[in-house]
Amino acid sequence: MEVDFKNKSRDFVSDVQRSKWHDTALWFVRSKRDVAVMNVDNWEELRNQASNIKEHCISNLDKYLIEFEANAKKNGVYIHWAIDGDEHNEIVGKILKSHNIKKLVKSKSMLTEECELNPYLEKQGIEVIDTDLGERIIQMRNETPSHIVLPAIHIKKEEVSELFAEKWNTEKGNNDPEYLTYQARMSLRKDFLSADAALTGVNFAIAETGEVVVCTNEGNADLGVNITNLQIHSMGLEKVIPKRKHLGVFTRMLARSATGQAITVYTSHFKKPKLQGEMHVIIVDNGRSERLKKDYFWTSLKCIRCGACMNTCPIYRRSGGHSYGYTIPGPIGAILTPNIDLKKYSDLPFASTLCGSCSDVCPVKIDIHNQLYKWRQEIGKNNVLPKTKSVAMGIAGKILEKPKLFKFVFKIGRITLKILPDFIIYNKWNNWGKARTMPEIKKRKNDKQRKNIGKY
Amino acid sequence: MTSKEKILENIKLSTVNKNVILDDVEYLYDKKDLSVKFKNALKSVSAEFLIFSNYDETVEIINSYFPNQKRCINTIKEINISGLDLSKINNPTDFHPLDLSIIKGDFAVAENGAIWINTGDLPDRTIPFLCENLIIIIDGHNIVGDMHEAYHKTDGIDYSYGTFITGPSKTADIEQTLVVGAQGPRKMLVLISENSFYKNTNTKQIP
Amino acid sequence: MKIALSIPCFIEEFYPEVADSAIKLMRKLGIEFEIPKGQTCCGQPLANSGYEHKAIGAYHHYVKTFGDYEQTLMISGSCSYHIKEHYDVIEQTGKVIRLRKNIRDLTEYIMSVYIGKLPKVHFPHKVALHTGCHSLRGMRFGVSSELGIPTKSFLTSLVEHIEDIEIITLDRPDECCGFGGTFSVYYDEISVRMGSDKLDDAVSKGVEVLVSNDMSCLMHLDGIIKKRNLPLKVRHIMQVLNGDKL
Repeated sequence: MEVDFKNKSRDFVSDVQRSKWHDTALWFVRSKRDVAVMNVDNWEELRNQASNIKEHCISNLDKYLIEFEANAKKNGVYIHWAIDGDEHNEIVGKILKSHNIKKLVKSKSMLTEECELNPYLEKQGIEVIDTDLGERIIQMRNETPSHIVLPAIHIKKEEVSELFAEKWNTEKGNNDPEYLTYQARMSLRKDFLSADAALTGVNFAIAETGEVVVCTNEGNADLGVNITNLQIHSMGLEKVIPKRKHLGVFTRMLARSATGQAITVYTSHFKKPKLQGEMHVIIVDNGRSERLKKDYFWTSLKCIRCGACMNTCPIYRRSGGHSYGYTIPGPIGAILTPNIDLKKYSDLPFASTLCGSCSDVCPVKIDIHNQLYKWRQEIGKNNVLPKTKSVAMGIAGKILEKPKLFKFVFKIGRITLKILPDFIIYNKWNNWGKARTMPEIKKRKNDKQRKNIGKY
Repeated sequence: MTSKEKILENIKLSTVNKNVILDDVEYLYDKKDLSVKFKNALKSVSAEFLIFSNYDETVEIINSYFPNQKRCINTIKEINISGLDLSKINNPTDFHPLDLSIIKGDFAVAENGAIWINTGDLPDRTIPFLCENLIIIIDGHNIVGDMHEAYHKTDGIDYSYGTFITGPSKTADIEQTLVVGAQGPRKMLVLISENSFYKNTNTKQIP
Repeated sequence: MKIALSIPCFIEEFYPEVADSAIKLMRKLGIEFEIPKGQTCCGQPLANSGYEHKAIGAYHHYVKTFGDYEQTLMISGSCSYHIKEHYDVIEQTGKVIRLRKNIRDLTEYIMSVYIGKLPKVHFPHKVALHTGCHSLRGMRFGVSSELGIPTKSFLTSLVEHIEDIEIITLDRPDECCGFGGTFSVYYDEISVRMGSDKLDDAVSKGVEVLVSNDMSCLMHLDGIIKKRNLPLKVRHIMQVLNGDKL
């Protein structure tokens, strides 16, 4: 089934109050980001460095992955390689089974969302608890994240309150975020203390030292990893960077871009397992090395998952993350998904005005809007244009009912029809008029008259 | 072929003709008003701080700041506060509930208020995270300007697990409302020594 | 130097008065130029819809029309950006290279060359300025708000000398208006909401006129203004600089 961004986003934006609330909440994050970025001398220079490090690393990925593996092994870390999501899940399952694990606490990891790890483990009878507050909320609602940094940004506090009251018997009608957060803390504490393994995502993996770096605000990754004796870190293979010193660039940029904080509350460097503990790192491909093959689009692998392009995107803010139908929504999602399935996600690269704000806000300088434009060409060439667009073409006949439109088409058509195919001229005006009046066709001066205007 | 071989093979094929050269960047470290910047950064991350001049003083500060802390872990022997007997505890879950942890920070970062903790060297790795209240003691002369310098300072240090901690834990996952105290400590106090008596040996000195 | 004036297709049909004001202003400034015959469309709407391969004909036609001029001035930031940025898919002949290099948005050209020589005009209105996104982020005519340095619209420097104008800054001064070419039709609900939000911002601040260098953004916004009966007007900056009354 193709993702129908058109209809999903329409549903979202039609709830005017809610979509305005969503837009305002995310704009607030974007504004905080602007202040944080202004406080850094020469942000642009940092962006250039970040981009260069990532491009260098990705274009030498095999070398750095091998170096990372060797150094991690020296630290006593087990390294696993997974070609796809299924293999990743099997590896996690095997590790957990060999330790007879019954309960796993997880900190935020978009990769495990991508691999659909939770349902896999649950089928094996393993209880999985997402410990990031936002993720816990959506887990209890049986939803997927609508944002990669703020997974529950689409949910109102009243809804959180209802959910907690139903599941945890908290005070009904108490919508105070502080109260609700405290209730979640109390519940999650019990989970941490009764868990016997922890899994985290990875923000950066350092080839030089074999350590992995995890950035969180809540402290949930560190709590989980340190309370239990078995720690698993799942990383996309693009997360590796050459040296520790490069963390200086990325730790300055990640939280500023994501939430407007100067740094996350916890920036944790996991290098060796604790005494009597085990540490595993799973390196996951799941289509990434294929993406790397593409001439133009490979730089999308630079993404550090800060979510800034979502916060800034005027379309994402008004459509909600679920309209994108993929774990990673927004502008970056729209350039990642066509790699996975060009037809299924063919609506997404069109869900943009190509305003370029995503590219300007991106800390690693992915030219997202240009890639959106290029993906549109791929979709056009491969003839997998989304239904919404081909249907619009079909309505062309209606044009004949509207004299004004007809006149326009006729006039323009006179000179351009040979060059422009019909659909662009016809479908263009169908949806225009619902909430906008049509511009009036005016008689222009002829060339002779024009020659004389402005002459005295 | 193993998955590893397949992945590496595919990467090799994909990166033919791609080789972006890594730029060599020299950083100019910020050396100005680091103490002031650090304190401002602490304020902005909802951490509290106090200046102290000798360890005896700290006991009084801690007792008045966090009175009636029943269960406490004190990892600094110079501070005369008794806490849980760690030798009698086998499992970190037995710490719970933990009212207060007192730990040393190796150095601090002015631009963002982060403090480097060699977490792997603590008697237990959960100590900074499981507690309700966290006290970190640092040398006020041991502040670097930014993260570039912070990584330079910790370069080559052999740690098993190290963490930059920047204030009490927090979340804004419910309607973007900032709530201090998520899963980790709900309060954090930084005790800054302005005398240089507290030397830390774990990080290399920058000339 | 042989200069051509390029009038975008939609201006020719819907806003010929904008072209007229531009022509008048250019003549006042003493710019010698021609208006080549047979102007059509730069092909952007097609290409932005994923049909670049079918826009090639339009590209060649545009090159044929303007390729002999040393300088092409276009009354649109967006269309000139398209030619600069996306005419890389046709054979790069001398003409194509020159066109891509020398095509400029008329507004930006006037700002760079004639900034101190503009005629003295009156515009006693509260004005919000809107730089088209392709001008702002595509061609860097101003500083976008994402870049970590104070943001600035290049349009400000063009109108700030007008004594009786009052420039009002919107809450989100450089957020996209929601036009986006065929986006405005494919995703009309989102598009209209984006435009409406900008207009609500303007109305709440007492703005009377929205002024831009891109008539396409204004066409979209004006459509909403009229449908919603908002107390706002739109004007291309050429009309303001030429001294046209509101």
